[in-house]
Amino acid sequence: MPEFKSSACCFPVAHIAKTIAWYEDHLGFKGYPYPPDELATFGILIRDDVEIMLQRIQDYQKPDLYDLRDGGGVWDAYIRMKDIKEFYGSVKDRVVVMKPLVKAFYGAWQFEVKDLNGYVLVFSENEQS
Amino acid sequence: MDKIPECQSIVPVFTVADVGATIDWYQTKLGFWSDPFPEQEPYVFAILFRDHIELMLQRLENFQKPDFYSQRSGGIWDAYIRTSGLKELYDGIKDEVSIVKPLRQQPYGAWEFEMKDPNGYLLVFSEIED
Repeated sequence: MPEFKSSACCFPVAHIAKTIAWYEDHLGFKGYPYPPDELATFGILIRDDVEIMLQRIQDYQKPDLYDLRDGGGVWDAYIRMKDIKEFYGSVKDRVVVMKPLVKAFYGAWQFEVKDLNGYVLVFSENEQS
Repeated sequence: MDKIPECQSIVPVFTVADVGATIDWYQTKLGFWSDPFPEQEPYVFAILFRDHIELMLQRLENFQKPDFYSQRSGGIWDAYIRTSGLKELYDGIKDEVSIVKPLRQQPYGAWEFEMKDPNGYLLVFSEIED
């Protein structure tokens, strides 16, 4: 029986190396460009059990859809994590926070960050009972 | 001792015009379960889950996903799903979905195939050979 074991988000971006540098500096990811130089057309970002793939499109600009959805933004990736309060404290003054750390009505603590290319990442932790 | 935050999983979030129709497709073609919101249609949000992965759907009225696939040699993907039993999965769905690239082994060792969902999102299914 086939099993789906893990998933990665894939983001088109104009510049792989710049994107890797931003994720390494701001969110603690480690990046791997392919080929491993300034002309990379692909990259993988890894932190803990989370993987984001980057694919280069020359001069690509992500459309900004965030305000088009009533009642709460358009997201690109939702990252489940542990110890979100410590993480929020360490990144909130260094990134564009779209929504601060709050407890959503469905019980999760979450905050929203816009990356350098305009992708909206939601970091989330389910409250321990 | 300080706590060290840990990122445990990442969920691709797809913007779609019709959450209900998208749920039906993922249930029928790929065996996902769903948790839509609100409880009755029209849904504005849903979580799709199968085994260890999740996908999220957010409704945006009349949204049409731009097609970037041909703007990069090697294509543009939206989600990369690591599996076991890839050949069985492929044989079970290849005649029922839009296959963009058939099952083949990549130079980096992984077996992969690419398919498009009904909204144009490109899913790559992959398995590393033992």
